[in-house]
Parts: sequence; structure tokens; C-alpha cells
Amino acid sequence: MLRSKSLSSKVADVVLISILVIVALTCILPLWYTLSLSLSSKTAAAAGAVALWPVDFNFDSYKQLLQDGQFFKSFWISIQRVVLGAGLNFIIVPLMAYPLSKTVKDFKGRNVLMWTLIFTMLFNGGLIPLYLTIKGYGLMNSIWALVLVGGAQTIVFNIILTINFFRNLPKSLEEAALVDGAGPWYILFKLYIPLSIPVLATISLFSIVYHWNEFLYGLIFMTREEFYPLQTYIQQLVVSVDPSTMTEDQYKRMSELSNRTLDAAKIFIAMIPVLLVYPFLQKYFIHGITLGSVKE
Amino acid sequence: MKVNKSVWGFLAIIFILLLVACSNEETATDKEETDNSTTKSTEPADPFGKYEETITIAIGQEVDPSDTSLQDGDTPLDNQYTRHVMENLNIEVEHAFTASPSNYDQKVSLAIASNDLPDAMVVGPVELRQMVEADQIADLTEVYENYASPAIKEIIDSSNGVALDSVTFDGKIMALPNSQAGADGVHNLWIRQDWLDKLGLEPPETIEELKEVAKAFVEQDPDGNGADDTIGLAGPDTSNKLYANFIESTNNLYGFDGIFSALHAYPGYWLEGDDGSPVYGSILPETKEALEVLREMYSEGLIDPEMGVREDSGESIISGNTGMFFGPFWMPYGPLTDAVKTNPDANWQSYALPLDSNGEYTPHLSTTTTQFVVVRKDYEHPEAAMKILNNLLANESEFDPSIGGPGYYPLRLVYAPADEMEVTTVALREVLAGTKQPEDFYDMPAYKLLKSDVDTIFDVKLEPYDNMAIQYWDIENHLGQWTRAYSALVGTAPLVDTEINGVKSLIYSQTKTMEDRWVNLKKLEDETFLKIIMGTEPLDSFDQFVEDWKQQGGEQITNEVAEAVQ
Repeated sequence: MLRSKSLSSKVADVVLISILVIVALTCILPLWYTLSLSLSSKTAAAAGAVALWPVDFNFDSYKQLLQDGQFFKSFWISIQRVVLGAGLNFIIVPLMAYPLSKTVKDFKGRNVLMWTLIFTMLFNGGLIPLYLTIKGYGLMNSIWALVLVGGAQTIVFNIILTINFFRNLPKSLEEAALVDGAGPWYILFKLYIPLSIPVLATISLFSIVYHWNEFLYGLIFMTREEFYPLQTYIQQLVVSVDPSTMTEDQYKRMSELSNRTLDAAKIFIAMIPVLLVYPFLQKYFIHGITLGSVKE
Repeated sequence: MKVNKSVWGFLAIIFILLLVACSNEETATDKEETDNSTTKSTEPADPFGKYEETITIAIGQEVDPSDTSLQDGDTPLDNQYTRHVMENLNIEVEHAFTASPSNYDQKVSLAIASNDLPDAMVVGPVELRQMVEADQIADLTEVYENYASPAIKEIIDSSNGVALDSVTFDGKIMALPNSQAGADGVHNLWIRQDWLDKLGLEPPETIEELKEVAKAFVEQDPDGNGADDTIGLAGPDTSNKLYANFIESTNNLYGFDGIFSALHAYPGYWLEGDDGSPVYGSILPETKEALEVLREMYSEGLIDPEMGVREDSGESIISGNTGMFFGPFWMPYGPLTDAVKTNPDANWQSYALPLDSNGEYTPHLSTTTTQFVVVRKDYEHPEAAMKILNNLLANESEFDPSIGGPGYYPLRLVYAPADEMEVTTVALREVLAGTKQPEDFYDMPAYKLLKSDVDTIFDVKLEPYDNMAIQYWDIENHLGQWTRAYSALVGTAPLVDTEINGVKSLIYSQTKTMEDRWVNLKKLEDETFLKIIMGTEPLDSFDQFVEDWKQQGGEQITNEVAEAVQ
């Protein structure tokens, strides 16, 4: 550290650091609040008395959570979905990005294919047609509805990211391999993929987070709660219902059942898997984003 | 190459998982294709007749994910209710879809839009209209006439034709209506009696007195904690409205319904104008006056300053910061239970106040029909839905809610006499006063909970039996019964003791143009009124709102309403 800092740069440091602290807090406080809520008593939570520290500290919510079979069923469905979705993503993206990273001279249909992909990114048929399509394929209540629909909607972005990364790899590497008699498959698997770990880690992370957090398709394509992925299961618990559309009898039931501390515990547990994945992929992540975007 | 190996290993794992998932898929796909046995029922019309061969009905069902009442491995599809339907009617219930209360409407909309309908389901008035227009549902006129049980017909007739009117399109009955107690359409003034007593105040009879009480609650530290943290009158939160309207005419919590109606303003209602033709209450001068009153109250800090942005206004009631709010009789089922648990002195009492300038209580009244069972057009056994409902009403008292909440009954609609709560209140008072015995009320099966109410009242009410203040109740003994009894003896009491000169809306359902325009008109209305009350727009922007409202389809809608009520 240089000691000869001018006053103005010190002021700048203070300002920047406080801004960063505030931004960091806006990210952390909601998590912290959810944790406090889940460790508080039901009455305190209903009265809005919980702020940064739990009121009437207890583990009741977590004990109750352990008995909730559907929570763990949904948790397992989400894990399957993430593994399948991120796995498919990991396989398909390099296979598509490699040919598409070539110029039109090497790959004639490249532009047509590229624009087709981009078209699907910009326009889509809407929810009802999507629903009818999935129903037509017989994929209702199947995990593949979640894996394929979600995958199809995010994959184009991942492909574009990977194409840019591939294009930044030194051309001479590929030429050298060609001279040595390597074919395209060999070049892709032995050269490009090992060199592209940062970007592949990045797109996997995107895909994992997307599949973990996405809840709408679970709601649309699953007709029963037992097939819901975790975030859909949680969404239906925490979305508030307009009491005026309910009959008195429904409201009574709902108010007897409402349990904010338990919901908070579920939300907190649901965050943990993604929190665990992040640290392992983060170093590649930062690497991958910048490498993919800057031309050397 | 180490990296290389691990990549291949990863790929191999993925492929194995893909294979595993593929083989599992078969069990996961839905069993949509059910063996709909096409045996036509040839038996004569018997409301409780059992089918000779098992028929199936695939329904849309609301399932509350936080309802953990099912016991012994029962599921939403296999429980005391579905087994009862199977045994008594030989109807096998299947689920075309289930959804939580918050998502049920979305699932219904999806089913309607994609024309992928269950055999029968419960819908609201808006969806009913859509389905009639899309020609998706069966004409149930004959089903209702031949198969509705006498008990259901009696309850439906008790609504003076409102229930049947709301399902009749071109003279045909297109759905089966519910009928619920009328009490939850009246929004009482709930008030902290202990605060009033402490400050030496009386319950406010007029709007002026209401303002004074609110001012005292805000400024004189009624909770005695030395902090300036009290709210005079609660305001609506994000899931409630400023006032109940003709489409959602019941159960508006923390709104200003009482203030509007005391000033004879009925925003959101269709009223008869001076010339006898319908007018929309929100565009009348009375509404402007009421908004002016609310605007003043808000600027003086008498209304919760955070109204409209709070997620749940019940929070400040539970924590003991709020002194008054408007809400239906059943608020003990809402925040009041937790409020009393938090602070045993919180003596919430309910009044039919404030009164209008003539000293009369003039609230708006609700419709008693809000939900409908519809049957898919080509379903072979449309009468099955009616039979399921007959069976519910006839046997509801036999079921044990502790091993599966009533919401698990397939196609459940509420059937309650319109005066259910009032009758309960009177009965409880007579039992408490000793003028009648609990046994005197045993023979009233339409009033489903009355027997248990009169039997358990002495478990929760302490002497003196004619004083309803909170310290004369035993809450710990039986919380569930306390909630019910307090709702009757405190919440419903004003409706029994007060002469109610209520105002009804001319219609409680949508017309054709409303389908396209109402959402926007409603939004315009809500935003303008909220801004006027909160002072971000001048009061005179009300006049601009009236102009805009008429131009953007309001005029046309008014004409349609005029046609509909003729």
C-alpha cells in the first residue's frame, strides 16, 4: 500500500467503500431477516415485531419443517431438475457453439442457424401455446417439461456466450491441431473444451441458478403439488391471497394455517444449495464473463 | 490431462442420470386418460341416488399446502370425504389439477384459455361468464330442477332469487351457485375499548366523533408506553382495498367502508340514480365528499400513514399499535387472536358505527353468492356434481375436521343460511342468560355449527355472562371455540342489535364490456382515489377521473348495466 495518499483520494475511498457496504447490505439483510424470522416465535412474526434479531428465539420452525414430506419431495425434484438441466446445457452448448463459432466460409448455414436461434430468444408463442405444446407432447407432470422448456429458453444466451469465448481462443492452436491431423471432434473435445472450463463453469452456474429458482413452469405444467419443484412449492406458500375473493370460510382456514416463521425456514433452507455451489464456481465465473466479452 | 478426465467423468454421470430419469418418466406422467365409463344413467332423478356402476369425475381442486390436517396416510385424493362420496354415490373423484388458494385462479384461467377443462370445478363470477360465452360448460337447468336436494333448494331460495339470477344466462342455469352467510358483507368498526375507557371517550357515533377518537388515540399515548407509536385508524394493506366493490363485495379488511357509507357514498357499487337508471357509485359527488374527509384525516395523521404500502395491516393490530379498523364480524379469526395473545388487555369490541347524518346505520350489503360449480359441456354425468353437493350438505356434520379439513371435500361450496351468524348470536345469548337450554337448538341442521356452539359456550365465557369485555373470556381453555364465540357475541352483535338500512348493488356480476375494460377502469379508480387521500393529487382530480372513466368505457358499461337490471 502506498502511504502518500492525497486527501481527495481518501475521501473517494470512504465514499466508495460506504457505497459498496450499502450495496452489500441490501443483498445480505433480506437473507438475514429471513433467518431471524425463521428463528422467532409465531406471534412475534405475525405482529411484525421481528427486525434484525429473532424474537423469542426457538427452533420450532425447523423441527416442524423436518416433518413436512412435501418439502423434501420438492427439494429432490429440484435437485433432479438442476442436474438434468445443467447437464443437458453442459452437453449441448459446446456442441452447438463450436460449429457456430466458425465463419460462414467454413460453415455455410451458420447465419441462418444463428438467426433462428436469436429469433427464439426474442419472440415466443406465449404461455397458452406453450402449455398446449407440452400437453401435446405428453410431458405434463413430467420432470422433462421443466428441464426442456427451461433449458430451451436459456440455452441461446449460453451458446452466444460460449461462441464468443471460442472465437477468442488463438486460431493458431486449431491450425496446429489440423496440421497434426486432428479432426473437428478431436479438436472440440481435446482442445476447446479443456480450454473453456471458465466459460463452461459460468454457463453451468447460470443454468443451475435458473433451474433452481424458476417456479412458473412448475405451476403451469404440474397438475399436482406432489410434482412441484421446490420454488413452486414455496411460491404457493408465500404469495398472499386477496381475502375478498375468498369466502369467509376459506379465510378462516387460511388464517388458522398461516405460518410465517415456517415459511421463512423453508425459504432459508431452499437458498442453501445455491449458496453452496457459488463459492466453487465463482472464480471461474468472474473469469468466464470477462473473457467471453472482451476481444483481444 | 487431469481436466480432461474429470470432464469425461462428469459427462458419464450426466448420461447415466439421463437414463435413470428416462426410466422413471413413466411413473411421473399424468394419468390423464381415465376410463370414463360411458354408461348413461338410466335411473330416475334421485338427488342422493347411488350410481350402479362407478363413474369418475375429474375435478379441479384447491389444496392448501399448509393444511396438515390429513391423518393416517390420507391424501387430497383419498380421505374421509372422497371415500364418503365413493360409498354413498359410487362416484370416483380424480384430480385434473390441484392448486393452492393463491394459484387456483391462475390454473382455472389456464384451463379456460387452453380449453383443457376438468369435468367440473369451482369458479368465480368472472370465470363463469367467460366460460358461458366460450360455450364451454353444460346447461344445468334440468340437473338443478331434478337433482338438487330440497335442503339446497331451500337455502338457494332464501337468497330471494339472487343466487339463481347470477347463474342464469338466457334463461338457462349454467352453474350451481353457493350461498353464504350475509354477515361478512357488513364492515363493522372494531375499536380498542380499553383505550377508549382509559382516555374517557365514548364509541364514535358520527364521522366528527370518529376523528376526535382517532386524534386522541394518536396523540394521547393510549398504550401508555411513552412512545409516539399509535395509529388512529388502520388503512388497507396491499392485498385489500379502500372499499368493497360489486364484484368483491365481502370481507374487505381495514378499508374505509364504514366512512364511505356513513356519508352515503357507495363507491364500487351500482346504485339507482335520481332518474331511476343505474349509476356507478364511484363517480357520484358523495364519493368526492367522502374522499375529502379521508384526505383531511390522512393529512392530520389520523389514518395509518403507511396505508397502501403495508404488506399486512394486521401486524400493527397484533402488536397493539392500532386503535380502530373496519372489518367483518369474523376478525377474531384474523389478527385478533394473536392480538389478544400478545396483549391480554387488548379489548377489541365491535360497533355498527359511524352513523349517517340522520343517525342511521347505512352500510353496503354483499351478495351471498360468490362461487359456482361448473360442469364441462360434454361430460356424461352432469348430475354427478349436483349429487356431490347434495351429499355434502346432508352429511357435513358427520365429518371430523380434525382428520382432514373441510376444504378437501370435492367441489365444496358453502351452503349456509343467509342469517347464520345472527341466529347463532341470539342463540348464544339466550343460553348464556339461561332463558333457553342448549338442547333447544339441537334441531336446526341447516345451522351446522350451532349445536357445538351452544354446547361449548360455557367453556370459554366467564361470568358475568352479559359483559363481553375481554377479561370475561377464558381464551386459554379452548382457543378455537373462543374465536367462534367471540365472532358471534362481539363481532355479529351489532348486526343483531342495530337496525340496518343497508344498500345493495344493482348487480354483483360483470357485463360484457367489463371483460375488456374493467381492469383498467378499476386501476384508474384505485390509483386516483389513493392519491387523493394521500394528498399527492388535488381533490379536484376527482372530476377529471369522472370524465376519463366515462370516456374509457364507463358510459357503455353503464348502459349495459341498465339493460341487465331491466
